[in-house]
Amino acid sequence: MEEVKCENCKKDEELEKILLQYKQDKDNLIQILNEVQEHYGYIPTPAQMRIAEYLGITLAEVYGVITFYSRFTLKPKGKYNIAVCLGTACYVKGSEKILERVKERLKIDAGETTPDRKIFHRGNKMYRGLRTSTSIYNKRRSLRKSNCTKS
Amino acid sequence: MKSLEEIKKIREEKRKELDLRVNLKADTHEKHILVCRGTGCTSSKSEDIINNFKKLIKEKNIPNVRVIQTGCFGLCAKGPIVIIRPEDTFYAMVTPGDCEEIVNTHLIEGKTVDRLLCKDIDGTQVKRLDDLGFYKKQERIALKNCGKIDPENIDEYIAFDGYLALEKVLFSMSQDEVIEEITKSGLRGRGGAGFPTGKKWAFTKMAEGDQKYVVCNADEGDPGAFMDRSILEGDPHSVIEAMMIAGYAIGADQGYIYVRAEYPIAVQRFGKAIEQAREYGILGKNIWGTDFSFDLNIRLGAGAFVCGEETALLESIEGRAGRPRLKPPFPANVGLWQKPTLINNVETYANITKIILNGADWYAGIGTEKSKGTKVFALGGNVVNTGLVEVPMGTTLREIVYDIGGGIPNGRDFKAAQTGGPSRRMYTKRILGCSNRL
Ligand SMILES: Cc1cc2nc3c(=O)[nH]c(=O)nc-3n(C[C@H](O)[C@H](O)[C@H](O)COP(=O)(O)O)c2cc1C
Ligand code: FES
Repeated sequence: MEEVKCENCKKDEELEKILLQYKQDKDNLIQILNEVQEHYGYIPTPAQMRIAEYLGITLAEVYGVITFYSRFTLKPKGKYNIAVCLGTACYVKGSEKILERVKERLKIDAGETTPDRKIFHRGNKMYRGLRTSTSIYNKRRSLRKSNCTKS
Repeated sequence: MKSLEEIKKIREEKRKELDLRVNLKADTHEKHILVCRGTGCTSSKSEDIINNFKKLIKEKNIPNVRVIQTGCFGLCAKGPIVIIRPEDTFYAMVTPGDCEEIVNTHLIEGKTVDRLLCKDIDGTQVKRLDDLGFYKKQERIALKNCGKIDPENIDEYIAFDGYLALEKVLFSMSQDEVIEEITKSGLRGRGGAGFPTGKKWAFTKMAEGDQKYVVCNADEGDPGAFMDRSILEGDPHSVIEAMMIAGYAIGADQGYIYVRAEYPIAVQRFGKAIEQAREYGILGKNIWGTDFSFDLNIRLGAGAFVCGEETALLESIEGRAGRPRLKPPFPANVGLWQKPTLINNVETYANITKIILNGADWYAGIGTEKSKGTKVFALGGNVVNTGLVEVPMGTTLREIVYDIGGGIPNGRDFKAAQTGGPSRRMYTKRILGCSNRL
């Protein structure tokens, strides 16, 4: 996958602005990461180093928290996020084949984003709610559908 | 900043103004168009519906009509839902394009738009939400205000006895009396384990420490569940008020609500509710001139199912990976930043104000011998009426699936149902009618 240029290497003030809203207290790590993720679409390595420095903790601690929570990513997410349910019910209905097809068409693996940053493959989550609360997952579902039929 | 007198005045005046929300024969020239802004209806364009109504009403210069956003009405399958008060006409599956017809026919000509009425399971056309079989077996306590008030308007909450329970507690009850009342009510935690709430409060009050915390668990990670979400979206102040009552009872002056970041509407509405409560001087120092101070902050989760577990949640609030702690010690003794901490679920809190206002005996009169009160369910899967329901404890699965849920689509057979998220078992037809197994 082509490396997407980390935009914040240039615009470091943006990160500083986020940091300044918070006290230099390690309790704020997740709140800061949430904002950085929101802002950049992922958490770039230089930002990780700066956050560690700001809060007075090690880079390993920051990295550990990022990789623990599924909302944080080390690579940019795309405009659209796609996930294929591999829960039991979907699996017996052939979701594995869909997954193969998605990978083949987009030429990316789970956790990666297409070079044009359009589509991010979230990985193979279990969405037991999908069939249930239709309207709530509507957006995600229609997206799934369209992506799958296109591919 | 508002004094207690001013809040009382708001309650009185606003209650009169909002009588049409609950009274079919309200003495008023006004009409309120209630549009559901729960997550389900919002994702099927209810925001556009609100904007269209507002635009049309302005263009056509129709007097005395207000458009109001509410939380989830419950029957999400038929969303977006629009209800017109005081006559309580219930329009289902409304699209932004239908607004013009509703305005012309309903508001101007005074007739019902039959096309948008909902059909009940037996095929009869229903004009009011309450007439649907879906609502007949329900009892709304935790969801009392959902679909009735604008969750972003503190005055509407105050109008329907909002912050009255807090007033009662602060001015006429001791800490022990509050705990005693909750214990007597028989309320048990709605977060999963069903631990007696009063007992937990008592433990936390007894724990030694100069600083204590109140935490609300809004991490609701079970796939398909949206009970806590709907309460936060539809009636955020009821959770704030209950957390304050809990703070008073155990001796805490700081609260945290841990909400998953995947619930943006809930986070936004709850944040707004906190701001309004601060503005009114309800949250803050020396509330209404008493010795009691309390403030509340939001902490966002970042997508980890395990953070719903209470000690993992505490780890996460402290900014670390959410790995559960060993128990004991329990959070009641060693919790957030090692201080005694009370953790309850959103729905547990949503019951508190009603217990304080109506009394423990009233609450204990609902439900079964061991489980008191009601339970909210997110009803999903192959049932006709998917949505949010609240039923007295002891209601059978058969009643939920058939009488409320409307049965299986296309008259097909029931195979199995799962209650309580992925960690619970499947129930088959054999025990569909047994209440004690749920
Ligand atoms: C893996 C796991 C996940 C949990 N998820 C939640 C949750 O999403 N929401 C919740 O309120 N409680 C959850 N709990 C239960 C909490 O640990 C805790 O018992 C509850 O918040 C206490 O509140 P209550 O007494 O009001 O029920 C979970 C427990 C475990 C073990
Ligand atoms: S979200 Fe509108 S009725 Fe539930």
